[in-house]
Amino acid sequence: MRRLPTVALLAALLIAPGCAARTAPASPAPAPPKVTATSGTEMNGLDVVFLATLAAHTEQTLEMVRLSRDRVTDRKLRTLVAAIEVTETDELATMRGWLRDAGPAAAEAARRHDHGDHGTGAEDLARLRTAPGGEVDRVLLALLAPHQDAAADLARAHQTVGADPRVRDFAGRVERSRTAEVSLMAGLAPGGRA
Amino acid sequence: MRRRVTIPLMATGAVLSTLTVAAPAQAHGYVSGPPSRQALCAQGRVPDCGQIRYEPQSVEGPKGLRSCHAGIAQFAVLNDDSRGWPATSVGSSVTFTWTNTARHATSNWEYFIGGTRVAVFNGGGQQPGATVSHTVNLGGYPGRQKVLAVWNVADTANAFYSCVDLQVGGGGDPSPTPSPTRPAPSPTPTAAPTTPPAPGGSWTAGRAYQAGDEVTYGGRTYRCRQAHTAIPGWEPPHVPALWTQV
Repeated sequence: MRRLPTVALLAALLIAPGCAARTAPASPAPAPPKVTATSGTEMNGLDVVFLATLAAHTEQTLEMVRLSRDRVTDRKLRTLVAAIEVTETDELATMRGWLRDAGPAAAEAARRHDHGDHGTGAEDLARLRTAPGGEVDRVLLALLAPHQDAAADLARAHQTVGADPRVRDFAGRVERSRTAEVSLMAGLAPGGRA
Repeated sequence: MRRRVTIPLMATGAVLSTLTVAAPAQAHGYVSGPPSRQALCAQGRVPDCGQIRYEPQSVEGPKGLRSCHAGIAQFAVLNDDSRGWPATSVGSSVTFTWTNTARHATSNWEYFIGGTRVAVFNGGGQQPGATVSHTVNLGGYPGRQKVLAVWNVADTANAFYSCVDLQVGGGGDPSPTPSPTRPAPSPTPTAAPTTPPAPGGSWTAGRAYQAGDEVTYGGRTYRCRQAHTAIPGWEPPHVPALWTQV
């Protein structure tokens, strides 16, 4: 069992050489959750598509976080962003591990869709990157809330069509956590200093 | 970083070029409910479909096609009506749900039976949600029908195609349809942010925890590793980045 986190990290490297270097250092290095449940694969193609899509979506979340975390002024937003960063870093490792477990054909198909224009576009990320100091909170909230809402949508839709119970449970948690994050963000006054 | 990202794209360029003619970005989507032919293949409910199994969202071709496979040779199975596609039993009003793995600005969505366009929904050139649902009245088309659903992307020359086999008007169920993927027209929004989880313990959604705080959850004790507000989906056993079991 001890080896599994390493395996998941390796999978991340194998599946997406472009992403691993960006995502790995962000984690305070806890073991990715639920990897111990890995036992063969009951995944169907839709599980694979969901995981590949959400993995790419999650990379964008982490990109937004990295572009803004050191410049966010609101204390509550800063705390939320930090928690999103560590939880989604783990989730990404878990997803990549499952994709690897699904076999070469699935991993190959996943890789083909990995770096597409999922969710939030490059212009939006640029907007965040160039936001002046006083605007970072507002721009981040404007981008991250709909981004997380989209993840909740994907996860909600997947729960009725997936096969693997691990993936379905995970989708349920993604739906719940993203939905709650959107609520928390709605409660944060743009640019406010709580 | 930017340079590294191009590597996987270039490596798969040969494959992609057969699917996307002039599309600069990868717009992708398919009808997930009622399950389209590619969804049935991806779920394994229809076996031996080939490559489509892992990319039901990639049935992309020029706008204006009326086939189920967008003219893509390796997806030809989708256009083969003799494959015994199970038909989903529906009432006369059907809600189609697209799952969009990439959300491209949309011209419109069209639905065809035979050569007839039975419904169209304007996309207004806007980016759609990750999922999009349309309710179509098929009261005039009782019995078994093959519906071709088309997603016309606004900023490329391409469209995405999904064929959905239906038994319209309830009644008979000539090709018994397994129930798990019956369409869920309005997915119930679950768990308000402050709803406590079932297993219980002192952990409470909505509460702000500081590093070092201890809670119980599911009979175990956890210590907070990083300050955060607890939310559903972040129960301690599921988020080792936030909680360590003591």
